[in-house]
Amino acid sequence: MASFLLKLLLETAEVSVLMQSYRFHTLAHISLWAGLIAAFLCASAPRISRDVSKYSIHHIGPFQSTNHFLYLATGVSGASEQLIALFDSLPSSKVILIVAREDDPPSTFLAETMGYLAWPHPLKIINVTRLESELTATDPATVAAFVLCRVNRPSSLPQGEHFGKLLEVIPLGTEAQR
Amino acid sequence: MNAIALLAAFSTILAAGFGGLMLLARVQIRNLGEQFALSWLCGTGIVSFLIWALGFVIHGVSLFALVAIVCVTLPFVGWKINGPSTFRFQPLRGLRTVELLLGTLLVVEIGIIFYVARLHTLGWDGLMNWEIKARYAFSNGGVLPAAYFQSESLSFSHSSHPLAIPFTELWLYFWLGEANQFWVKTIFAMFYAAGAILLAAISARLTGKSWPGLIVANLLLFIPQITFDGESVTAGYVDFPLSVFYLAAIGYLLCACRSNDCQLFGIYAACLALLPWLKREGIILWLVAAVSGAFVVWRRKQSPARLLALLPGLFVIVVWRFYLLKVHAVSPHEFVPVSVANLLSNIHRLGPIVSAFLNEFAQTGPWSLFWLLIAIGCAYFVRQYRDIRSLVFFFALFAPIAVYPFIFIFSNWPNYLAQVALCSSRMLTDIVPLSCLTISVALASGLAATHRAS
Repeated sequence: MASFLLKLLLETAEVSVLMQSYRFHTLAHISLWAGLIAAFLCASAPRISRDVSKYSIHHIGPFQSTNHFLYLATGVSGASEQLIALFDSLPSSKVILIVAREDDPPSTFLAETMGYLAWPHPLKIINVTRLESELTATDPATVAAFVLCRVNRPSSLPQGEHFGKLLEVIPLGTEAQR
Repeated sequence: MNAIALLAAFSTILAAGFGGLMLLARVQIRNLGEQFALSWLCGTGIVSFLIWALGFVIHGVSLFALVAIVCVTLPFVGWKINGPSTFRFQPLRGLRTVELLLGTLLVVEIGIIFYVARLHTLGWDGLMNWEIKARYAFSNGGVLPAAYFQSESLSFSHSSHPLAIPFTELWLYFWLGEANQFWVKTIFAMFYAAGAILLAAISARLTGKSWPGLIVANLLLFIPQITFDGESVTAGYVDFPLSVFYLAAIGYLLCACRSNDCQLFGIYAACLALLPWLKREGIILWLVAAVSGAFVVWRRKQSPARLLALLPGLFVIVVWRFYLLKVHAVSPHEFVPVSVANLLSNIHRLGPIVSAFLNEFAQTGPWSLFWLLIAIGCAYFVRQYRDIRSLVFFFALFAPIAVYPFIFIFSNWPNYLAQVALCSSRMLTDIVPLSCLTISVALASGLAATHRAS
């Protein structure tokens, strides 16, 4: 009987130790993950709140993104619609020649935005270093417009329509204009 | 009016996905949230592929009408075949209070994503790589003109990227009646919703508990790179949608490992097929997921007929490559051709590239402490699943990270490390939702041990 009681006591103690071990394990597990998740949230929160406000704009419209980019680049509001109207007035079979500076990312981005808006015109984006040779080689009858993105206008080209100081569109597409 | 058009566009996508899953993969999910998420994924794949394929023979209103008819017809055909049980879903009554609270929080977070997507503009790639294709196709009756693919000056828009996302955007434009950079962002918020819900659903299937998955799905909002960064899901970047497809493919494959369930394998097959239809990197993810699937079939001694699941994805890859060849698409300039000579001449780049990739894991700006949580979660995953699931999971997690640096050996940028710096965070996004499974397994496994003990 005594040995049975002793065995029972020992087993109970063993279970109790095991239970305590599991309780400790659970507590450690919960503490670890609660701490990790709290640290994760604390580290993320400042960046999240900054990003939400940083990229937020309140202009709504079919050209929300391009208008925002063009506003940042040129300071002109609603430039996408104006540019599309201008491009639409040009013969769609003729090329729009976009001139940019390859070594100047804002100029390249502006040129690509012009490319995006100029569709369905055939496009040609060239580096400013090739402008003179392109002017010599290109038949003006095939060009609808020159678009100068952060590039100074060469004297051989007439003055065009300005969108801010850094973007100029020179339409050549119509007979009268040439 | 725009809200009604949006609702119609989303409903038809969901209908196509719902019907498509039933008919093609014989899948019926009883959980409404999970069904919604899977229907969205498969619906975008079906609608975009249909628009592209039917665009070879019709365009304009006829194309729009025919695709709409197919979308609406698919669930009805499924209903005819499967009977009244088709539209039967589980009630929410069985949920515990904590699960209801976490679920409500998740709904609020998804609402926040929709709201923030409204405020943010599309990011550069979101506009110039993806939306541009939808806009040009819309202005041409739903068909991308060959001139677009051939234009050297438009090569900045990566014309060789496949059309799943652009043609889902196009579907929205069809309904709106105009190309619209504002409303198009809702598509990405829908992908976020689908991703978060699938993460919770797959976690629940893996661990047998709902709450760990719900916690992890709620944490997704707090990864800056995923949610509010300039290259995130709210900026119209495709990396997150791609990662959701990858999560679905590998997640359901892991679930199918245990149960040999045909339906789960069917979902894996459907998502696998769509991986290469989203982005060029999708081919790598397809390859990894296909090898994982073949391994499961072999190790579990499943029917070799299941290997047929690999064919649709292969078909998509081949058909798209063939199409690009036929339209004489301009090759992307960012990479030199893959050849032994180029490999040998640039192999010295591998060390710095791998180093830059590994360095990305330590960036707390875009990732916060996310990768630390994942590293600890991985240990729990191995301890919990000492079987084929760990092999499949870690192969699917690490193989893309191991392969991606090799791409930049062929970089054509003067400063190839600048290209790595630009792309590495986006590429890591591909495995983010999948890696989140380690956290849910960790959360569930610690308490499971206690329950067993008591």
